[in-house]
Amino acid sequence: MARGLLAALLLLTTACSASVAGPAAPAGHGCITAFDAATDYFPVKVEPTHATNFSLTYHRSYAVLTVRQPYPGGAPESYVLLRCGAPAPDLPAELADAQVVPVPVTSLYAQSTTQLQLIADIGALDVLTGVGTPDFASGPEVRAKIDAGEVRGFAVNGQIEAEQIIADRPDVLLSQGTDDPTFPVLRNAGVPVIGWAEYLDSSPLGQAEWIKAMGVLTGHEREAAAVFDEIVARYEAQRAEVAGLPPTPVLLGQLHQGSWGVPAGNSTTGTLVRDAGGIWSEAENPSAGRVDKDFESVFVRDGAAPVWLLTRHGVRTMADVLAEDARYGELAAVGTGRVWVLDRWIGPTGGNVFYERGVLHPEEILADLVAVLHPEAAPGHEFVYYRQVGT
Amino acid sequence: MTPRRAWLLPVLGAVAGLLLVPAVALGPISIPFGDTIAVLVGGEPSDPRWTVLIGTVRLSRAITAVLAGAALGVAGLTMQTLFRNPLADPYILGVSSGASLGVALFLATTTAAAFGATFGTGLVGLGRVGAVGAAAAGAFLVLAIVLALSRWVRSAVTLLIVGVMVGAVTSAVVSLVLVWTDPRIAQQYVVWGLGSFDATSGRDLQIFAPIVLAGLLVAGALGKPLNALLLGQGYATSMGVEVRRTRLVVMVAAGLLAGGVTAFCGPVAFIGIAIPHLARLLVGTSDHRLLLPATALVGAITALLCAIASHPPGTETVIPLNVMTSLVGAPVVIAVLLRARRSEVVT
Repeated sequence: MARGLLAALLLLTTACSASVAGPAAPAGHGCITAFDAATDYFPVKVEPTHATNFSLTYHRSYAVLTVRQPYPGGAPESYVLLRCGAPAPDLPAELADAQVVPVPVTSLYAQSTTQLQLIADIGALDVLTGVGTPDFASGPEVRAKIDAGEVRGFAVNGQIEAEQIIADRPDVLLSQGTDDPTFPVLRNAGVPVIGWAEYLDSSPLGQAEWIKAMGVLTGHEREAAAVFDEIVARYEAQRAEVAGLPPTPVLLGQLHQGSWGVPAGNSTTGTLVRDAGGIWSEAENPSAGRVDKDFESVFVRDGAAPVWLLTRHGVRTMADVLAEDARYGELAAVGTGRVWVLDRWIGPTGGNVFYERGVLHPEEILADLVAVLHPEAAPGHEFVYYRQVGT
Repeated sequence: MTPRRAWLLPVLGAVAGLLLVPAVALGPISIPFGDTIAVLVGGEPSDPRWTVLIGTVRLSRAITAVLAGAALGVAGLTMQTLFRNPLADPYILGVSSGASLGVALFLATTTAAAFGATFGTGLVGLGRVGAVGAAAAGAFLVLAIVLALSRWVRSAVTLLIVGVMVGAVTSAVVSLVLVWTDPRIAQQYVVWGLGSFDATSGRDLQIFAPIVLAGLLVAGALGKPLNALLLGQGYATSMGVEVRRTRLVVMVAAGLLAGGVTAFCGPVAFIGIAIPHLARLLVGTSDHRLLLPATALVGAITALLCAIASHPPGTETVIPLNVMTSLVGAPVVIAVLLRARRSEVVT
């Protein structure tokens, strides 16, 4: 009862502190017909509070989206999001080479499936006209659009089809956070490419907050902020629920050709597991990456943990687990049967929904993890992403 | 007259045997030496976890290293002699790229199955057996193609080129598989390509050890014909050696050795090409009756050293095996070759 009250209270306080400022947006978010230099064309200003890999600054007729690291090791890039219908702005020198994207965009190419959920949750799917690999997309609305021929694949098999994209001329193409030799070609041909690297934000809430950038791109700032605030409220409520419980030791990852990658404390997985009340050998490691160990180290440090979160998908039974490596039989979790994999929800064309939806909904992953690590705190929980390996 | 240092063989054997001790006693986790001995002689250590660590992790790793090192050394030596080329290695016949193709296809089908596709679902449960089986199948398929082509090839050089070409075709198919599937597969494939003695369990050794021992036995019986081949095919024929048959047997033996190692440990670099040169310098002769066992022993010693070094004691980290073998091994070989540059045995 007390926990429920606390959760409700948290939900309420976070909802009240929604990071939306300014007066109501002009109706319809349409293009400017009669430009007035004194008008603020971005009345709803959303700004990241958890994410560190992007920032937004506002000017009267344009906003500037800056991605600190558009791909691993990439230099920061800024994009001018110009309210459509506004004249070319007088940009400062540092933005002279920046790509200009007219917003709200009317056609958008999304290379990564993680972007699809953001677009769906703010109700902007009507602008989606291209996805990287259609088979990876699983959301019912997106699938319907693909089947109807309204959304086409532009990077099937990972190869970006530059000529086709230039012919289609979408308002913007969102990368999957990796660099590609075709991007300069596309940019030169007038198709703006935004380096979309939400995964380089290691915090789960930081990744979800990229929905705000999507809001500015599509003119749905208010919806984006509302969705995000609710995610934060639920996440924090879940976290608060297990904060006082003794942490459950957990084994993370698995062997691959003799090497066992253990997530460090500030990696996305590490943050989620810690927030769900789990503890493991690298929980205090401040790195956001992973530590490659061998079976020997993992067995001694974490082998006695009663719960094991496997990274390999598709294993059905404990016999499958042991077929991967007979030494797994020495792990305590194999004895308890509390072995879990992240493949409960597979889309109709084989895409793992975790990769599409999980980035925006860490609160759902956290709820699953709480139920895995502290089943007593989550009676009757219905799992979304995690599946227990059959004994 | 080159010195024949036959007395070196028991010395090398003793060194390899002695190195087994640190290979089992040293690792990221510090285990009291008394407990290590206790486990090895079947006693009870002070902590039951040590039985698992030594019995299932370190002992398998050490035995795998010994077998793989010997196998790659001997396979490399026979290939260098057969092709009369000091740069030949155990993978020259395309065995490694064949195994790579097997693994890439296996990863692609099982990963697709893991994400819901029905194709390949039955393979997921195969786990390690499936990956090793796929690598072995790929390796021996490519070997069979090269062997079949070799029937029509007279010159060793042409055969060498055929092997390299078949390998190139196979690698191209691997690239296609990787590009056409989930990017996560590429990551797994890269890890496989780094080589490892750690993935082999006791159960694997029951298959791996007989394969390597069979290959070593066949190669061991080839001392005389290989000696004759050193002086060219014409000379070998005049000495009564059936060149084609010998060539076939050498290729099958080398394929068995290199294919077996690649299936269980991934494509382990460097050892196969460098160890024969080191062994020639050490024993001071090109007589294969001495050189073959010496190469096997030097290979085992080198692989054991690499296995120990890739798990530096006191640090909980793994250095990829191929980094160890090439980064540390190559400069050592260069130094040895330069110091012995006047030696007439260096081919």
